[in-house]
Formats: sequence, structure tokens, C-alpha cells
Amino acid sequence: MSALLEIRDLTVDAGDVRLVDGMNLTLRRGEFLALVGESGSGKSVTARAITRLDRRTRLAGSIRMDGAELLTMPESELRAYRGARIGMVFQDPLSSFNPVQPIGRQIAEPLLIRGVGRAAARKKAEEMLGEMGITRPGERLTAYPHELSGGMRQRAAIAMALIAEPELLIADEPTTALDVRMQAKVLKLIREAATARHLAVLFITHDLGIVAGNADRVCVMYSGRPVEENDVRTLFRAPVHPYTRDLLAAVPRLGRGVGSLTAIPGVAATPANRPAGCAYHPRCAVAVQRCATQVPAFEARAACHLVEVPAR
Amino acid sequence: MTALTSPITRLTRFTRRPARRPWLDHLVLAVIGLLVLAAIFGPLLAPHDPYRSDPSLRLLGPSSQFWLGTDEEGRDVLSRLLVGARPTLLSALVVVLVSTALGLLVASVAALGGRWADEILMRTCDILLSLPGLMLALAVATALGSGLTGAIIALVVAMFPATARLARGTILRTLTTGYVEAAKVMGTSRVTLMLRHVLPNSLDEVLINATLQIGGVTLILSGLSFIGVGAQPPSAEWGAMASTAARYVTVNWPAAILPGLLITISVVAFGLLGDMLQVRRDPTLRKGLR
Repeated sequence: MSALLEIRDLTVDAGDVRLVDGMNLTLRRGEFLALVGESGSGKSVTARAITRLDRRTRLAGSIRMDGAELLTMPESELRAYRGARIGMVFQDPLSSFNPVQPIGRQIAEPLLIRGVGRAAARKKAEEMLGEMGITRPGERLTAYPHELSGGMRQRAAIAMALIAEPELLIADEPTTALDVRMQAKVLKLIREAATARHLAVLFITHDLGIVAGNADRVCVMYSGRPVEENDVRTLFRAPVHPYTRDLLAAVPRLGRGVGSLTAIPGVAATPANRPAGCAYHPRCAVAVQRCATQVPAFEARAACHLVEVPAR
Repeated sequence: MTALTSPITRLTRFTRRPARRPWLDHLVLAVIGLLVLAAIFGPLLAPHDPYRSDPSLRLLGPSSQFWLGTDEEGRDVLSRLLVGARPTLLSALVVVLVSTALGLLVASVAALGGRWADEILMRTCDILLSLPGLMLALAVATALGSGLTGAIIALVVAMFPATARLARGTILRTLTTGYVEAAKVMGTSRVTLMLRHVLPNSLDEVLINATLQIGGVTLILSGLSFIGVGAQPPSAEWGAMASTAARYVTVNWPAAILPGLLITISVVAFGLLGDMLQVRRDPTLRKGLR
């Protein structure tokens, strides 16, 4: 399987704060990869770096798609990737649509700006809405965003992201703003659309429950760095990084009774105040002395001193 | 240029707003309707030729023939007021339209053009803003020679920086919204992004501001005409009329007072219209009105 997207040693700086510090990630065609982490762990920043959405951040390292370097590409060339090869869905379905334009026009926009005729674009938009399980899609094309429910808007946003048949879908917490039933529905739609198109999905979430049921592979981030990456079964069954273990232990389970909620002690490291050495060491139960001084290298499946020692 | 924002808004912003009653809105709309009708049909409605002077009819009081009397050259005041609505209000409208369009253009280029374009355009606006508006208008109008066209250009120069600043703010805010971001990741070009997504969603504040400005501009244009830099004497522009008739105010007051009164009414009416639109756009303001 060939790599569609390769992120190597990516750093993202905003002012003098390093938001992402050495991110590595490989995404193959047709693969569903979940990027997991707490707020501020740099998962969204990583995703937005791929399409270079934030003009104010400084990017360094390498992001290659099909071998082409996206980071240094001129803006005009990158535009050919946005929408056509990379689709993106955001967290807030309320604000993803221009309030003064009918949604049909907006869903069709990726096609229209690439010279597809109005009638053909409209037909495709209707098809996409239908695929997203929206009833009477032809009538919905003329609806304004405020006339649709949150779930419908998010499905329309997915239709917009997929209408130009991209190879990569970046979904930045697309289910966070939805109720549980709609979450399941939207997830299933993304999953099905991805399978049908052999689409690679970079799915950003902080919800481990979503990851377990849908992802092929998982990458866990902490404080702007990847800490563990593996296929979903192995990661859930045998996590090696202490952070991943603590995170999984904190997932509430039915039948364990009241008072069984566990939390990781301390607070998440912010990018501006990243501890020296392994960023997780102040909260880690098994940290040893050198965790506080040396940044652990990412080897094999995790970035932790305690994992790499027995491996040698 | 803050002097050009509605005096009414500025006053009421810091004091308790009076309860807005529907009859006030209706009155405002009726007054503006009448002003617009006069501007369009004034020359047809005028009972006499507004420019024909007759020394034997100088400075007459109101009569059945001249309802509002005559001025110092024996011209019918009512006719001149009706005909004067067009140059007075139309030129104010032209000033506001042109300065708003120019302001939007400058703001769009500043917001999209990157750091240097932004710095250069906005600092230029700051320089223009730091000069007192009326002084700047006077200087430009004098340099261009007297006449209404000169005054209009002068006011556009004096007014567009404030609009550009306001528009830049709303445009920058709109640029951070989700749909602009979504359109951007779809590969939309910067110009399309601006025209289709950013400007339509940044317009309402600018348009309300423009409405508020009409009154202020009317006042300043008439002021320029009054002191002799704008419209020149024979023309029936309200400011110029007030200016020439002012000398004879003790002899025949309507010719001097009425143009000024109409200017005042226009200023207040457009100010209130701006307020109305503002409340329409943001219904939460209504709470403060009770």
C-alpha cells in the first residue's frame, strides 16, 4: 500500500509558541486514521497545516501528498489540492455555511470554481445530498443554512467536502457538536462514503468511543507531539505509552458502578508551558528521572523512555 | 470624522434611550418619503420658475401667490426649496455612495492584500482621519475651485477613510468565520471568496453607517455652500439659499429660515432612519429601548 499523505518532523509555530513539535504521520489510501488527543494537543493544528489554512502560523518540516511537497508549494498550486484532492469538514456545522446563500450553491462550489457547468454541478450536489441520507435532496438545494438542523447541515458539509471526489478527507471533530444519535449517523456516512471511494480519512476527535468502532489506525497526541501510534485493536488491547493507558483507564464503562470515574491527575500541558523532557512526565505515574530531561524518541510504536529500553 | 456619525446615535448611546414608538418610525419614513418625492418631482411641482428674478417682487412675505414669500431677488421661495431638494440630497447621496464604495474597496484590498498593502492603506487612512474632516474638506474644495462637484469630491476624500476602517474591521471578522474557512479549503480564489462570501456578510454595518452619514453629509455640504465653497449663489441649493438670504433675515425671515429648517429636518430624519435600521438588524438593542 502506497502512502498518500506523509507528514515528517512537522513543527507549527504561532509567535514564539510551538503548537506542534515534531509530528510524524503516514496515511495510506483508503485508510481511516484517528488522531486523538486532549484540547490543545495540536491535532487540529496538524490537520489545518495540511491545507495551510492558518496564514499566521509558521510551518516547518515536510507534508507530502503523493510525493508532492505541500508546505513549500505556491498558494496557486495548493488551491488545486484544496477541495479537489483534499476535502475538509469542520466541527461547527452552524458556521460552515454562508448564511446568505442557498446551500446547494455552496455544496456545488468546488465543482463550479473548477469550470463544471451549472446543471451538472447541481445534479451532482443533489446526488451527494441524497447519498448523505437527506430526504428530498432536490428541494433542499434551495434551502438556506438556517432552515436546516445541525445534523443536516453537517451532512451537507460532508457532501460539500466530497463533491469533487477528493482522495483525502480531513474531518476535524465533525461529530462533537452533534447529539449522540446524529453522531452515529454522521460517522456511519463518513465510513460508508470512504469505503465506496477508497478514500483516506484523517479523523480528529477526543472521543475514544468513536475511535474504537471506526478507525483502522490510531495516533495519540500529547502536547504537540505524537506519543503512540498503532492499529486500533492493538492500541486498545495493549497500549504501551503511559498516557494512552491512563486515557483508556479514564473511559467510563457501564456496570462499574457509581464512583468509578477515574481521571488523570494534573492538568494537560499547554503548548506555551510545555515541560522539559517528556511532556507527560509531571502527570505520569511511572516517570523516572531522565523523563524530566530527555525528550523520548518515537520508536516503533510509541515515544516513551520506558518502552524503548526493553526493546533494546 | 466622528462628527459625521449621527449626533442622535452618539447622544443616545450614553443616555437612557427613549422608548421607540411605532409612530416615530412612521413619521421618519413619511418625512424621508416626502424629501425623496421632492428630490424627484420638485421641478415639476414648483409653482414658479425658481430662477426668474423680479426686482419688484423682492422680499415679499407669504401670500396666496407666493406661499412662502420671495427672496432678495424676487424669486419664489417655495419653488426654490422644491427644486433645491435634488442638488442638496442627491449630492449628499452621491458623496455617501462613492465614499462607501471607495471605503469598501480599500478595506477589501487591505484585508486580502497581505501585510504591506494593509499597512500602507490603513496608515494612509489614519493620516486622513487625523485631520479634522471639515478642514480637510475645506482644503480640498478650495484647491479644486468652488462648485458643487469640488465639494462632493472633497467630502468623499474626507469621508472614505472612516468607512474603510469600519469595513476593514467587519471584513476581518467575517474572514474568521467557518464558512469563509470552508470556502477556502474548497479551493475558492481570493477574489471570489471576497465577493461571494465575505462582502455580502460584512455589508450591513457599513450600510447602516452610510444611512447615518447621509444626514451629516447633507449638513456639511450645505455648510460648505453656506460659506461659499460649495454650490454657488444662483443655484437653488439649500445651504446657498440660506447663505444669501441670511442678510435679510430681519426683513423677510422665511427665505432664510426655511432652507435651514429643511436641512435640519433631513439630518434628523436620516439619523433616525439609521437608528431604525440598526435596531432592525440587532433586535437585542430593543431591550435597551424599554
